[in-house]
Amino acid sequence: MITSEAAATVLVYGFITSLVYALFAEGFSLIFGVARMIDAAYGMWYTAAAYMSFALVTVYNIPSLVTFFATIAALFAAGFVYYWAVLRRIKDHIEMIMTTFLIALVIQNLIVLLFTNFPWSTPVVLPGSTLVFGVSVFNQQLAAAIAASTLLILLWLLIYRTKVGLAIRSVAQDLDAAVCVGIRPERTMALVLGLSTALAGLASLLVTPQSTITPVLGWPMLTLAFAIVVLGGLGDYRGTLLAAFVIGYVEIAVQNLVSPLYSGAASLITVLLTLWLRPKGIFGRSVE
Amino acid sequence: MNKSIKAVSRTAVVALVVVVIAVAAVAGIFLTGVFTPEQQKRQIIIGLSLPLTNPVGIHAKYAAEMAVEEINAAGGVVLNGTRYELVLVAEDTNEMDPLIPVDQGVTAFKRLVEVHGAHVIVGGVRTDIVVAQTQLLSQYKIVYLDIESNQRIVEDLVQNDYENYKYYFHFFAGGRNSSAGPYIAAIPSALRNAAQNNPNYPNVTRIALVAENALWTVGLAGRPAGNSTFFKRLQAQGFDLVFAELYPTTQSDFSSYLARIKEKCAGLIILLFSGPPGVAFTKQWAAYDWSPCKKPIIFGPGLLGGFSWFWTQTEGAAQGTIWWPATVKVPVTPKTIPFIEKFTGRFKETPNTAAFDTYDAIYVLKEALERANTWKADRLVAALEQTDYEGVIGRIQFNRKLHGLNLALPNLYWYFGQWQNGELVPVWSPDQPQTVRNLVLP
Repeated sequence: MITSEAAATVLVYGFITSLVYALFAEGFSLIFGVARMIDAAYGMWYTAAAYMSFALVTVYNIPSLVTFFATIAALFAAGFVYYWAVLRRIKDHIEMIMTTFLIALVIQNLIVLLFTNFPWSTPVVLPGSTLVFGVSVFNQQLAAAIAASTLLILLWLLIYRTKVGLAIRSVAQDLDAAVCVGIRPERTMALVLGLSTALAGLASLLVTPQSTITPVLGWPMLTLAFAIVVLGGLGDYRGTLLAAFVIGYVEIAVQNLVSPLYSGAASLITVLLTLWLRPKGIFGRSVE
Repeated sequence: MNKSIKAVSRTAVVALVVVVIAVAAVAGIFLTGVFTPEQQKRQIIIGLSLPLTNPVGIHAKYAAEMAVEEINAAGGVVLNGTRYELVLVAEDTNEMDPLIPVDQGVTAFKRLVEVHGAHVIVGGVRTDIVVAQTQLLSQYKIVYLDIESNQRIVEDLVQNDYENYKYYFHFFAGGRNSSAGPYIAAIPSALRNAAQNNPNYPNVTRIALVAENALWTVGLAGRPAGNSTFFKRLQAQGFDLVFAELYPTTQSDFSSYLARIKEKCAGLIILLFSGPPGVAFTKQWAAYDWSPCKKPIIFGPGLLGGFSWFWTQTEGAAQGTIWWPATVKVPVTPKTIPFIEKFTGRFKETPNTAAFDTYDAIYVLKEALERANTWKADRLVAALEQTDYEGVIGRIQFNRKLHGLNLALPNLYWYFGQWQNGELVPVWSPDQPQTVRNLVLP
């Protein structure tokens, strides 16, 4: 029998978790949808943002707000350069996965070299908690949910209501046609990579202050993004958003009603079941 | 004629080059010490198998360096009248990273023996890695001093298969004869007694268990969580286990756990952790809105909880949490406080339990080497079994059958420390089991 408190907990935490997952996964989805790339290093941007923020705030005593914008700007630039210097040159999917996986390992080891394996902790920006429908929510989480909602709306507006978005969608739909109408696909893809890494960084900065950071932080997030994007349909904004909510709610429901040990497995079973029923995912292209 | 001179000179040049290369190779081999017999170097090599980028391993290495410097400065180790210098070599097992497989620890162990020529191994933190490493002891015939793993699995192996596992000695108080289990079981009663005189206490008879899903928690927490002798005894004493859950070692968000603990209005959280999630849990517990219940007290065996690093990483959210093991500043022996002060003065951090254990392990080893007059494992084992040493953690002896600690009382592992404004204050020890002292409510 599910109590009203348990139902409220699932409802509130599921909503917050899903929003953050959506923000992170939309970046991964963009990379696949537009650039048709599977970036195995995507989780590492999540980790890199957490460490950069930690270093700026804790080591250099830079105010949190400045750190936030500096980190996002740095990640955007890193994504841009990452495309221009590395990804642009790779055509084969296997080569792409191997190269990006290698880059992820290099970044991870650089982090270990610079910061060691200490489980560091970034200071909480908004301490304390607030009751939402009778459920205690950390103020940091509440801010993360509001920021993630805003950013998801802004991302939607960017993709569907601006010229830049039109270019992104054109490249995603038909590369040759996009070139014919004067769009520079490489520039668009570099922009998408910058945007995606910045989204990974944003998701990280919103939630990591409430926990600890380790060099392997990004790997479970990569698995999660992969599951969401496959479930939603590769490269589909709406599908990714919906899939993030499915995965987020499944995880939180299993954590609260069954056991936290099974929440990861439950998400993957959900993905498998959905793909069995709808091989193209909820909205998108065929996984094949 | 010219042709023959050219042929001769070419042969001479080739021969000269071959000779030079051969001489250089032989000289290099001897200069780098590859073929130099170890005995002629008069060194005893101690291999440190540790997570060298984690506070546990870093402090252990610092303490090993301190002990080795002191021993060498005082004349080294004397075997059969000859002075030997102690030398440290280290390999990073990375074992505090939960995603690292056991193989890395095994490889580190092998490298210490095969590449660095270690005569004795000191190390061990993660139980699964220690278990895997100790499978190799009889193959290499090398003594292993385990300084931090919190399980009795290998002690049981020593008892059941002495010939193969006799090389293992357990320096951490987590073994069969040195378990903190009885202490941990006594604290809820002490807290309940204190609560009877103070209405501000939460209802400590309602207990929540949150445990890391790792090998070391199997005995205490049970599987499924809460299904252990320990909790059955607590229930028999009138305590109610209202929540029991394991968490994956990669868990970072504990909101769901806290919500369920609050729903049950638990007044006492027993938290079993050794890795980073303990910091996240503590930060989130401190920030959580516990109304209308009272904020529960956290206590438990949390390896990192007793480290000075824990206070800074939780930004003081650890205030009021109670941990074992805790490196409280108590003179358990005349050596304890001087060690803490020397370590803190040199490394600017309060030593953690890994540092205490490693420091003592090196001195115990030094005495055993001198008793055995060799580093050869079979004789060294016999000498280690005779250990009776007053160290910084207390008076150290080993159980002959288990090779686990037999610590005389008092010792460092007596004490549960509570974080109070950045200091670990001793609040409970088994000499007064029914009371808590100097405790502040979180």
